[in-house]
Amino acid sequence: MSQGGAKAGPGASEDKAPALDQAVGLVREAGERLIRNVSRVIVGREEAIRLAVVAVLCQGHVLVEDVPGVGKTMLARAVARSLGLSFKRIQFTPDLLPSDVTGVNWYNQKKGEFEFLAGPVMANLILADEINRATPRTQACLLEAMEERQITVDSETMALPRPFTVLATQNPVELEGTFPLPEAQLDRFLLRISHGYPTAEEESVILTRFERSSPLEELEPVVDRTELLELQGYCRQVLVEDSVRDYLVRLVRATREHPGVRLGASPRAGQGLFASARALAALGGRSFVVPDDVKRLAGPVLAHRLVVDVQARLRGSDRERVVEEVLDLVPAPVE
Amino acid sequence: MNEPGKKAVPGGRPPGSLAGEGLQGLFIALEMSWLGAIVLFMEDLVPGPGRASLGLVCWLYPAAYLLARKGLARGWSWKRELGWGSALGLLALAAGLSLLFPVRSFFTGPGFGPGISLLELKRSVIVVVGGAFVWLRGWYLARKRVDRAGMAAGFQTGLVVLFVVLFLTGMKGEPWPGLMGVVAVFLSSGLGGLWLARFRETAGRAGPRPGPSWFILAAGSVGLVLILGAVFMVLVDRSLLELLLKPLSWLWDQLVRLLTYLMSLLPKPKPLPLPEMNLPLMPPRAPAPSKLLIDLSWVRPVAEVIFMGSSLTILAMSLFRVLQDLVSRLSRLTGTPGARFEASGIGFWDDLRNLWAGLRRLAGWLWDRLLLRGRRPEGRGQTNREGATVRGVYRHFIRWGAARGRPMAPAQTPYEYRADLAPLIPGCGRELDLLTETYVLVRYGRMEPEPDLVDQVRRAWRRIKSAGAGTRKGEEET
Repeated sequence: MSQGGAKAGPGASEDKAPALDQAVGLVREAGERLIRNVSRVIVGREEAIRLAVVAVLCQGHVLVEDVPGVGKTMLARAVARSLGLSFKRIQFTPDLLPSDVTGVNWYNQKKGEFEFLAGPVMANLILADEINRATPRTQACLLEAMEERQITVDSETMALPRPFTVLATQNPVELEGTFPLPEAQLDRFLLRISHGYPTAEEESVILTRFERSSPLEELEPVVDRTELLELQGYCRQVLVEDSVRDYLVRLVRATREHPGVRLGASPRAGQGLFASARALAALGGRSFVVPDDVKRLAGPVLAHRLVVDVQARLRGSDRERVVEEVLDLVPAPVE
Repeated sequence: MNEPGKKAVPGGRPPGSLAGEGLQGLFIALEMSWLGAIVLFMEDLVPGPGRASLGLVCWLYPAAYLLARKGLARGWSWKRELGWGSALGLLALAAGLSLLFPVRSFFTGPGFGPGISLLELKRSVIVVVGGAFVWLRGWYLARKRVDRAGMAAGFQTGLVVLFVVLFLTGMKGEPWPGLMGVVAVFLSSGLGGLWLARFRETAGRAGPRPGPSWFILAAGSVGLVLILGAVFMVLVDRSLLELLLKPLSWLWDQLVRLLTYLMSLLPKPKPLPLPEMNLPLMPPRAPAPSKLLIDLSWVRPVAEVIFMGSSLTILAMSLFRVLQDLVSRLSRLTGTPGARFEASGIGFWDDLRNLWAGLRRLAGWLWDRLLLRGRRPEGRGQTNREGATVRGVYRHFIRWGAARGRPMAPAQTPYEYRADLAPLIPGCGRELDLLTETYVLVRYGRMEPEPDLVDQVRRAWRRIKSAGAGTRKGEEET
């Protein structure tokens, strides 16, 4: 519903409100552009694309986790190509070293001094493909980069370019030769996207679309860096009413108090849910967050951070189910 | 103190469930116990010949409560509800007053005025005032949701009233009969209700449930022990039971009298002549001393131990809650800036704060209505009222849906509830959308709707009501 017929209340300053409405209108328009562009490559899966756009809008990192061959890397590459940002792809393999990611100081014999050779992490958008195939040592080199947007090489700390987003993919089925991501790293991913197999109709469309050439090669950027930074700023202005904020906090805390959970969602998860709910609201053209935004994002934002008790797992519970139970348990802020 | 159920959905879960009805019953028992305490205390102040009139006053509470809930469930208009309520209330009050001084003594008896003594006048005032208060409370609380928070709020309200009554009793000197029974029934129904409400909150949810917190568990356990205590206390000190049953026994007496009178009108058969028998005169046998089958002398000390132990536990727990709230409050004042503390749902401090907020709202409303008479200055107040109207309409909408068997689940959002309710009122999709969207704008977006929009919402609400007027609870299943 448009916000016609209503004006800003005492909580929302009247001179800022029209600007905010205009700002969320811009976010919506740019978001739709992005989604349409990515949809030229990815068939169906609008929810997954929308979540990826939400993560980009709030500078979050995305973990695309799914079975092989369903388009994880394609989704990440399509999002990357749609944004006019510097892009680097890192294929994570067991022999990948931290210096292959962050960069290395090498001795320039001509100049007679050490020079820093920047690694692929020095880009706006990183595609960390098959991230769980690298050793924990290499995985850990991303911890500082993902959280603090900086890297430290040989005691020298360097800031990463802004915006900085990691799009990682992993295959949860294969265990041979893989190294599960530690909880500290999982917690740094804002969202986990898992879209599963396409329907029969979608598979048919995929065959047709990729019959002659890959549409990915024809994809043009639709949002540039400056515009993206502006859009991220607009998303931070979206109003979160106090009761919705409390609801969000109660949801996060309820995951810690759930009897089947060994490790609940962290305060960082709460921050992520807060920021992504704002971005989702702006993407929907709303200047305020509703509880439905929080509920819709609770699964993608919270589930991958939970560690479910062994006994609960034996009873058939899993992370997604825990989040559903928590959503059923925590009262929504209504009258 | 917050009145039960700030969230105005009667029931909360689909009505008709055993636990739901049990909770309503315990809530009524809880309320009746402290209302009975007030009535017993007043009766002790102004002693009189009979208790039937005051007993009737106690029965007015469940009557008003159930009548109002029935009216809500059937969608009665306020006029109809008021008419039924007034008729029933006046009938009960008239019956209570007629028990105090029969019509004949009103004209012929000696004493104050036309045959009424000063004592009878005082008691009649007590009956009228007490009856009106009890009736209004029952009518008001029927509109509130009885869930865990509501039960806790009702329990705390009653506890404060009981403390006041006990304090006044202590000042007066002697405890009035029935005091222990009232307290025992109050504590048992209140704590049992709290436990049941907690159980209901978690029983309907899928998957493994979190266990009850230690506080609720302890309160429930003590509540169960107190139910036993209540049974003992009612056996030992039957004043409360007598008070509550007095109207029934009075009705039974009237029925027996009527039957006796009717039987006396029947033609009497002539007695058969007895043959004369010459029997030796026997001295009358002395009556044998009556023996009770069970020796109940142990009941009183056992009951006292149970009651005192449980009461002390409850008082300690209440004190703990108060201190916890106080510590939270002090921490909030002196702690880290920006740190937020969770409000405790059933704490006294929150109740007092809510009571203060309620009084301020009431004062504001009275100021608007009586002094300003709607001539509120332009600006903030005007638009706030529009927003409050939309929220008020939505509250009615939720209550209306609940009365038709679709209560809003605690975790449901307005959009989810709209989808849930849509099959109930086909053809009202646009009205539901308008109501839901406007509410969402006002509630979460802090928007102040224009008067035109509020009018549209009102019209949409009327259309929804008229479209769903034929639908009653359970019709969809059939």
